[in-house]
Amino acid sequence: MADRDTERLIDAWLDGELPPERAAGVEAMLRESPALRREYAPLIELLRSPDPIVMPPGLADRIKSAVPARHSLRVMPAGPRAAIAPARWRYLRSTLAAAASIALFAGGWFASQLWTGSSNPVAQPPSTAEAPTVVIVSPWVLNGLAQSLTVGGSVSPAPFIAQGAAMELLAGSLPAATDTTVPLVLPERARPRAPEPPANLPDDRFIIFPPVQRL
Amino acid sequence: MDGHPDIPSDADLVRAVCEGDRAAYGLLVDRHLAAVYAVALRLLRNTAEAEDTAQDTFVRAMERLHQYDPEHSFHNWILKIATNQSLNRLRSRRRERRMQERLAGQEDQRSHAPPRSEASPTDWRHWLDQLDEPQRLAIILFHFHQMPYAEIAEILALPINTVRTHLHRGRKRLRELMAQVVHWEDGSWQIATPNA
Repeated sequence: MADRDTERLIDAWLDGELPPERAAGVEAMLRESPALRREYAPLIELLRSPDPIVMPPGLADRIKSAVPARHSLRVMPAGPRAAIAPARWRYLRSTLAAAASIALFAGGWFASQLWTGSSNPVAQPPSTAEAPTVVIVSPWVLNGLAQSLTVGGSVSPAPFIAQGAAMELLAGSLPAATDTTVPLVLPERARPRAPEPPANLPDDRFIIFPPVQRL
Repeated sequence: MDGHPDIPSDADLVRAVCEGDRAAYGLLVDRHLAAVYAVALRLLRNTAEAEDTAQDTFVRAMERLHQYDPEHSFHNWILKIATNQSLNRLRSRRRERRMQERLAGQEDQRSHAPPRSEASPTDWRHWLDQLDEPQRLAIILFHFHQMPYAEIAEILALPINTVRTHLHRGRKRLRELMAQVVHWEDGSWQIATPNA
C-alpha cells in the first residue's frame, strides 16, 4: 500500500495539479515501483481510457433537422444581453422583487389613507341584513404575497404570508387612526347583481354567502 | 480549432447561428455532438435516453444561445447543459422507480442499496456502478470529460471542496475494489477469479 504522502502526491498528479517536473517524477515512480504499479495501474488505465463511445448513425442529421424545425434559428444577438451573467441576473431579480414589494406596500398604504379619509365602512360595518360584499385586503399581506410571487422558484410563500399576517395583527393592535387595512368595496353601480329569484321558489333554495370576507 | 485562421471558432459560429445561419448550426452540432452524447450515455447508460438527451441539449442550447458568454468555452457550456439534462432524467427515473416500488408495496431497504452492476469487470461501468452517485458523477465529469472543478461544483450544486472530496474518495474506493480482483500485467487487465 502507498503511504499517505505518496497517495496525496499521486492524487495531485491525477488532478493535474503538479508542475511538469514533479509530474514527471510521479510518472517515473509509478513506472519503477512494482507495488505502486500494481496498486494504481488498473485505476489509471480506467480513468484514462473509458470505453469508446459509438455514435448512433443518423443522430447528427436528426438533431440538425429537428432544431431548426422548432426554432427559426434567429435568436437574440449574442451581444450586450450575453453579458448578463447569472450572478448579475440574480442581483437584478432580487432588486426588482424588492422594488415591486415596496411599490405594492406603498400603494396599499396610500389606498388605505384615501379610504379612511373619505368614508369608514370598517368602523361601522353594514348590517347583515343589507349584506354588501366587502373584501378587505391588508397591504402587509399584499406585501408578503408580492414577495413570494417575485421570488418564486423553490421558495415557499408561507413565510412571506406569515410575515404579512403578523404585521397585519400588529397594525390591528395600534389605534384606529393608524389602521392600514384597505377595504375594497365595489361601487354600487358596478357591483354585479344577482338575478331575482323566481317568485314560486322558496327562499331556502338559495345559498347565502357570509356578508363580509376578510382576506 | 480556435485560433486557426481558416476554421471558424465556436464564438464565430454562435454569432452566425444568432444571425440565422443554418450551416453554422450544423457545424456546431458536428463539433460537439460526440461529447454531448458521450456525457449523456455515461451518466444515463441507456442509448435511447442518451440520444433523446443529446437532442434536448441542442434544443435547449438554441433556446439559450443569447445567454452564452463568448468569453467562456462553448464546449464546456454545452456539456453543462447536457449534464443537467442527464441529471434531470436520472432524477425522474429515480422518482418513477420509487413510485413503482411504493405501488408494488416493495418500499424496503432495497431502495437504499447500491444498484447491482450487470456489466463485466472488464467494463468501466462495472466499477463505477459500485460508487455512490456523487463520486461516480465527479469521476465521469472530471476524468472522462475534463470538466473543471468549478463547473462540476456548479452543476452538482456543491462546494468545490466537496467535489474534490467526492473525486478523491471515489478514486480510492475504485482502487480498493480493483485491487481485490484486478492485476495489471503486460499492459492488460487480468481478472482474478475465485477458482484461479
